[in-house]
Order: sequence, then structure tokens, then C-alpha cells
Amino acid sequence: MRSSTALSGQPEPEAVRAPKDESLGAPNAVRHGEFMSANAISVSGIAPGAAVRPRLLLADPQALVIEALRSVLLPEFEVLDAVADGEALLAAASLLQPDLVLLELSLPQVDGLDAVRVLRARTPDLRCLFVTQHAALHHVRAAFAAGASGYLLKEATPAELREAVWRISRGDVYVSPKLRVDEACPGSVTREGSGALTLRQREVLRRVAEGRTGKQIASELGISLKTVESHKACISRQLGLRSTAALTRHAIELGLVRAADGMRGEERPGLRAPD
Amino acid sequence: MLCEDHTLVREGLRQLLASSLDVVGALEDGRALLQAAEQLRPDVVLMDITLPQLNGLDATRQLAKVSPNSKVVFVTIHADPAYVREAFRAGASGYVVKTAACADLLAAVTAVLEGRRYLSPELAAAHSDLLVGDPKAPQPGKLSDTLTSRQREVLQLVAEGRTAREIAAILNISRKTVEFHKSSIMRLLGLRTTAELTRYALEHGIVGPA
Repeated sequence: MRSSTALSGQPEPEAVRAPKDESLGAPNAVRHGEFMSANAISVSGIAPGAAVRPRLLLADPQALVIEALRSVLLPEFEVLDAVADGEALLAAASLLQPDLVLLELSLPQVDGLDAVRVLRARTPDLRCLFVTQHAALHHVRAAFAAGASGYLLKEATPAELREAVWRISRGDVYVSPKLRVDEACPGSVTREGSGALTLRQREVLRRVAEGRTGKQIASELGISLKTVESHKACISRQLGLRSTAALTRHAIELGLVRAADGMRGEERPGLRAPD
Repeated sequence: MLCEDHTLVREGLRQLLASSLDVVGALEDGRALLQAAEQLRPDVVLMDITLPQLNGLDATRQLAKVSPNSKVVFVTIHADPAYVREAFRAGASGYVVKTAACADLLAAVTAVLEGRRYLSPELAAAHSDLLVGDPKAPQPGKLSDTLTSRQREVLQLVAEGRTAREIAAILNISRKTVEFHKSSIMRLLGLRTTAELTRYALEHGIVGPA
């Protein structure tokens, strides 16, 4: 098990072999794609173990994550290829014609959301499943707005991932159960565009993250304390974040505030790396 | 033994490694890891730096007490040399970035079992100084010098958005002691609010982004 290619060397029951990682340009890959893709999507009610295995393309910048995903997806699914950035994803998708793309939100070159928009515009039948570490609801909304069919957190179990892939292959939508935190606002996750905060909400969020008290925020914005609290509750609900600490981390992620001074500037970029 | 908070990655790596190594446990946070390691005394612990409840760096420092013969290899997305230095300083023997292949992990395990230090080739090439020198040499201004181990534990739990009551339960101390630690941390760092503590913790890699 020295390389990812070795990993895909598991039994491949189908007559046509999946192309290996390096062989994006392999002619059999193209033939295979033309041969399969039209049927694979239109078959409904496919059950695990049925003859048609969904054909997947993976995209994640971290090779170890790819290898881990591949090992939980095989042999139930056919993994056509795996790529590390959005540009490679677009190229591989048009060449291999997968049924389903599993991708991370943060991809180099072309980010995950843009990649999904392009992929869906090119091939409306193609289904996209985000497999990501980002749990904030605005990411989930953006993902569905871009045209994704599913959103799964990396903290999901392998069984959940396989379930999500099957469901999406059948034309369903899938969201990690954990993300349905917002029972108070049913449908909020899939409602397009509602992820954006209003200007006033952003003003409040920034001040919360700067450590201001409700009273201070009220006097700075010239509104009542009660209104501040209500904005804060709204923001929390909308973002699916419950604590001041979580709101602060989110505000930093949005760029509304900078993280506190710590290590020297040159060392700082790497500290925000988990994207 | 594996410690990684993303279940998909953890289970995938477990399957991958199982063909060459005996994986005795796979845990999702730093506290669970310490408990399991105390019982199972693994030869090597492969762990992430950003972990819930107790981050990998502090878990490594505490691991030396509960299972002194276990070697630690970090498996992380952080390619920043500041993290690598801090990792070796905390007592790690190996450091592999997640952009590396699984083969790198096996190479790291082999190296640390032979008593060598291991650093991902791509990092070693860019920062040749990281593998030399005394990792235990004090580095002024580092968080691990400013705060005690218990204070760092409290800081992480605060920054994860937990209440004083929850923190008290996790650390098995009184709520009053939690409040005391929190105010000491604020005084030592010159910070006044929970929001400031959170930003500080984020900036220092004690917690990851929400």
C-alpha cells in the first residue's frame, strides 16, 4: 500500500477497468464514460449491491483524506479518479463523465462552490456531494445554492457517507443529520441566499466578536439593549452557532475582525490554514 | 493508535493502516486519547493537532506522563514551521502533513520506532533547520511558557464555547475553580472578554475555526 494507485488495486468486478490516478488521458476512460453515464443516472431505486455502481470522482487537497475516503468507498462504488484542486476536477469531470462528484468546499485554484456551478452548468445531470469540515450553516446554504445535491461533514461515519452517495445517486438530497440543528427554521438550510447577514447584523456580530458587551453595542449603534439581544439571537439562529465563542470564530472567518495579536505576522497565515 | 476528529478520515486511515500496522485504538478527541493510551500503551500515536476538548500539542505533553514510551507522530494540515517547532517541542517524534501520501505515514512510524525524528519530505526540504537543534530549548513568548497546562486546557474549552459548568464537569474541578482559571488567564494575557479569549485561542491554534 505504497500509493493511492495500489489502493485502487482492489477487485474490480466490472469488465471495463477504472482508469488509474495518473491516466486521466486514457482512451478507455472516455469510452467508459460515454458508455455508462446516461444510464447510471436515470436508473431510479438503485439499491446497494445492485449491478450499477455509481461512478465517483473525488476532489480534496489533502492526499491522506483522499486515501481515507477511497478506502471507505471501495468496493461498493467505483472511484474513477481523485484530484487535489478545482481545476483538475473540472478537467477530470469532462474526461471521465462521473455520475457523482465528492468534493471539499475549500479547493485550490477553483474553489468547491465555483466548481459545482461550472460542473452543473456543463452537465445538469451530474450530482455533487460536498464532503467537508465546514459546519457553519451559511456554507451549507451556499453549497445548495451553487447546485450541490448533498452536504456531508467529515465527522460523519463511513456508513453515512455510503448512504449519502446512494441517496444522491437516486436523485435525493442529503444533508448531514447534525446540520439540521435549526428546527425553529425548517427549510432554512435549503432556502437559497438566506445565508447572508444584513448590514446591521454584521455590525452587531463584529462588535460581539470584538468583546463588546450588549450595553456597549447598544450605545454605539444607538439602539436598545433589547434590539441588540434580538439581533444576536437572530444571527446565532441563522448561522447555527450557539455561543459567543463560536460567533467570534465565525466573525474572524468572515474577516469582520482580525484574530488577536499573537505570533509574528509572517507566521500567521499558516495558523488559519484549516480551509 | 489513531486520534483524528473527522470520523471519515479516522476510519479510512484505520482501514488503510490495518494492513501494515496493528491499530489498537482510534479516538476522536485528546481526552479520549489519553484515557485509551494509559490503558493500551501504544508504541506510536498518530494524531491531529486540532482536536476537540484537548488539542494535540497539549495531549502530547500529557501523554508523556501516562504512557512515556509512546511516540507521537502528528498528522495535520498545518504546514507552518511555527507549528512544527512547537510540535517537536511538545515531545513529538514525527510530523506528517495531510497532503502527504499514506506511504509517508508508514515511513514516519518506522522512523520513530527506530528512534529517529521524522518530518514530511516537502517540509524538510523547505525548512532544513526544523530537524536540528534542541527541541526543548525555550522559545520566549510561546503560549506554553505563558500559561500552565491546566490554564491552556481551560482556555481551549472556553474557546470551544462551553459553559463554566460543562468545563467543570470535563476537568472534574469545581465551577469556582474554572472561573478562577479563566480570570487568571485573562489577567496573564491581558484580555477582558470571552470573545477575546476565543480569538486568542484561534490565533494560537488551540482551537480550529468554527
